[in-house]
Amino acid sequence: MRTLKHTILALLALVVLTIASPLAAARDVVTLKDGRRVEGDIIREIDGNIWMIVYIGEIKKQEFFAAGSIDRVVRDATPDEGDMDEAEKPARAPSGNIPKGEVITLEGMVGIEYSARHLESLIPQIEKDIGEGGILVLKINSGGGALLEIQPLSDVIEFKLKPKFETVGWIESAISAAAMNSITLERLYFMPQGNFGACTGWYGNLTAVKGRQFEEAKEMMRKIVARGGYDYKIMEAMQGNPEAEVPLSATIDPQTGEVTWYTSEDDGEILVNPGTEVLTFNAVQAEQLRFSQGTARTLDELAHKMGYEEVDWVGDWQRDLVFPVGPAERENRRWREFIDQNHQGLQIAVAKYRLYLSTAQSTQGRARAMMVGKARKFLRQIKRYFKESPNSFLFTLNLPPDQFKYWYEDQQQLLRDLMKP
Amino acid sequence: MVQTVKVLSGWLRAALVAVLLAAFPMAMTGPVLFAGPVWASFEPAEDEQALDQIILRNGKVIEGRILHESADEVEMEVIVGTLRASTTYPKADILKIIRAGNTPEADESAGPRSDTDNERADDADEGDDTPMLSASTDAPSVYLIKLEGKFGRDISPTPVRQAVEAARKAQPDFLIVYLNNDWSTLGGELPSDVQGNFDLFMVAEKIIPIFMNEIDLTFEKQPTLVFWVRNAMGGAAFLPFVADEIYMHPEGRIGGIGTLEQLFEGTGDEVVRQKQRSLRLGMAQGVAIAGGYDYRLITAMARKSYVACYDNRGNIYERMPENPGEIVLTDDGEGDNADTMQQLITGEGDDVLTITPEVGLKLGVSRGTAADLDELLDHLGILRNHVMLKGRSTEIVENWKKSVTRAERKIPRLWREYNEVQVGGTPREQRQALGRQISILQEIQGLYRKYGEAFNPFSEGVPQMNQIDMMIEQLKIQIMLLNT
Repeated sequence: MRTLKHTILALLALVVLTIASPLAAARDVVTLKDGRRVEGDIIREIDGNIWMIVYIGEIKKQEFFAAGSIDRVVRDATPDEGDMDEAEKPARAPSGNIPKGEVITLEGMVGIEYSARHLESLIPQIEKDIGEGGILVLKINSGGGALLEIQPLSDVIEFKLKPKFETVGWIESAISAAAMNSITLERLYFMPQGNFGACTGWYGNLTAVKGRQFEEAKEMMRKIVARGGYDYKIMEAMQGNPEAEVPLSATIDPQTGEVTWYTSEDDGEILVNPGTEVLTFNAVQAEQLRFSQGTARTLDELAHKMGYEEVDWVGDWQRDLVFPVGPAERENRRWREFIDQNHQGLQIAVAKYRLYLSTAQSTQGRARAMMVGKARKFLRQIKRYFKESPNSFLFTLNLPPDQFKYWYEDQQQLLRDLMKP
Repeated sequence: MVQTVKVLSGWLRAALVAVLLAAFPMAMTGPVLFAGPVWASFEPAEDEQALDQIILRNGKVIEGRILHESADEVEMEVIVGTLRASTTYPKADILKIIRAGNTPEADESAGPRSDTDNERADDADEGDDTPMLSASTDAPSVYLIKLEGKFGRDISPTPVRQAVEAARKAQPDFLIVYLNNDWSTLGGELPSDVQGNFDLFMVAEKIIPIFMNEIDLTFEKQPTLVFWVRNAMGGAAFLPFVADEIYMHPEGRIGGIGTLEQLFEGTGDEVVRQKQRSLRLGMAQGVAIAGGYDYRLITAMARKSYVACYDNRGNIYERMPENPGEIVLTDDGEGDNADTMQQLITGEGDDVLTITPEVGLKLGVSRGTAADLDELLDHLGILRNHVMLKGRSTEIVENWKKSVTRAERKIPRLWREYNEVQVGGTPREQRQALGRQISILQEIQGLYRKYGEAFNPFSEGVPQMNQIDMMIEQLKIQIMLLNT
């Protein structure tokens, strides 16, 4: 009877422990060279590189740690590592090889030049350049763009890049939508001139996104911010609110360095953002408040801040760039130039199409036929431009890309009607 | 005859040295290398102890024998190695005369430094053909770029980039940028945009990388970048923060970018206006941080609501003064604290910060105050031993101003011509007229593409660029219709 009671109690305790904390069941601890300590379940190891399920509150996410960035690993699940002395032993993770790294720039308008589809298309080349587990630096310099591109970009970063590479952000300027997707990255480093924030949604003549759309944007950002492991209160102050003030203050624990955030001006020791303002971090504030992992002017400084003595950065150094251009980045730059021209081309094609269409509508006979012919030519151009850059359609005609098919059919019909006798 | 041979021999040797140096580009520090200092180092003067010296205000030291001295000028036989030439120097240019065997004598006749002196010093960039005879071979070289005129017009990305590129070729040790932007409107009245200049950051943003990144990345030898500020108001206020060292003219000012709170006032929703202000402030603060300056200075310069004070060690506190010795940097600008219009114009108010030489020194922004180039070089510790490099920078900036002025006048004239073209008569005449109109519009486009960064050519009823594209297309349609 006593044995049964003990067994039941033991089982209950096990159940309670399991429910209380997923970490308690299998607490592997990875300590990184940059000082971070991450707890979770190691699910895969290749050549010292570690894939791990990390728990943040109720959110479970997969993270990747390159061998070169790991200081030590302690596995609770392994009996001979339960011993504290053993735990202090250096992990076997660091392979001693110099890790490879590549810089990929994310610039231009989010949704046009800075696009999820394109970023994803670069992955095979990045993998060829630096291998799985290599260091991928996303250097961000963008004033923002389309709200609809934030989620796809975050998804590519979270599910395609982070599991494959040691992915960090290097912030030159991440404003609005650029900040809202790059916050998916746990590790953000700033350039000295770096800035990050001002995420208020707007359209037209500085009109704020309100109501349901605003609430949807907030909800989306709650989830994206959790992917990066940040406190949503930060993003809330960056988004602002058309109906209410969103102040932000913080207190830094002097012992642990942990930052506690408050949506108020007075509860924290540091007033980060007065309620009447919208938050944008600069490099000093971001580092002071542990939002960034550090500030790096050069790639060497960045590697050092990441905990590496040396990184083999792939690519050729250019006179006017602070990083070498590797094969994937070369393709990235070529594409961006093309898509920029494509976007401009679409705008011109739309304007000319409308001009020939209206002229056709006001002429008759042979002249009309000629104008319709010209209009058709520009309509075909529009279709080609759309195929390369669907989001350009949104910025040019203010219609979502999924509406293009219908718009195009309507225009074709309009031209056919004009040619009817 | 013997004398002739000796002089010839000296020339030959000097020429040979010059040629040899040219074969080793690493040893070349700039266009003046073939002048005095190099020769002097290889061909010492006959009797250095017996030579008189003239120290000019621009730091050059000239050795030779004084032949004649009047109230206004000094005539000297300049001796460099075996070379001799008689040269006359105005006393206004002379700082000191040191006679052979005598102790240095201050040149009283030269008098105190004046505006004239300053201008002359400024003109050093224009090229003083006098060889820098006594500067040592390793004397630091100095290149001066003068940025004067309207910010965003005369001081705009294209000429600044070209001027810096010209400086790159000279490979100076010190790149001095004299900044004096025109802050007044015509007639010297109150600038209409006293309250809204922060948005000119968008112009500064295009110039800043030239100093902040391009020098780092493209100069083979990294110069010390020095900003010497006479006037950095409005968008120009952001530029000095890229410098390694800032010095101010006694009348210098950095500011005029308040008040950010009024940017976009009356347009759209408040939260979006705040977004726009926040991102601009974040970007501008980044410039200060990258330059090694306290970003709160930018906040104080931009936001009227920002309250700060500083102590005698230059520490900034984000509150009103509470302790003895603390001074208000900026108050809240409300009620009795509000600056008067006069204070706004003179930059003496404290609703937003305008950095004056005194405040600049206390806050550690300015390293010193210099009324003229000599004083600046003195602060830099190179007055007595430097080489002033000749360059095209000033010419580049001046040519840009002239070209912009011409384009500014020409576009409205072209627009009038366009409207005066009579389209009528036979189809052939109509086609010719339409063709003429297309040609005029294309000329306007060409001018805009070249100089559009510097001015708004559309202010006199001239259509916007994208409208001109469509107008050209419409004219082409008219020609097509004539052909049908």
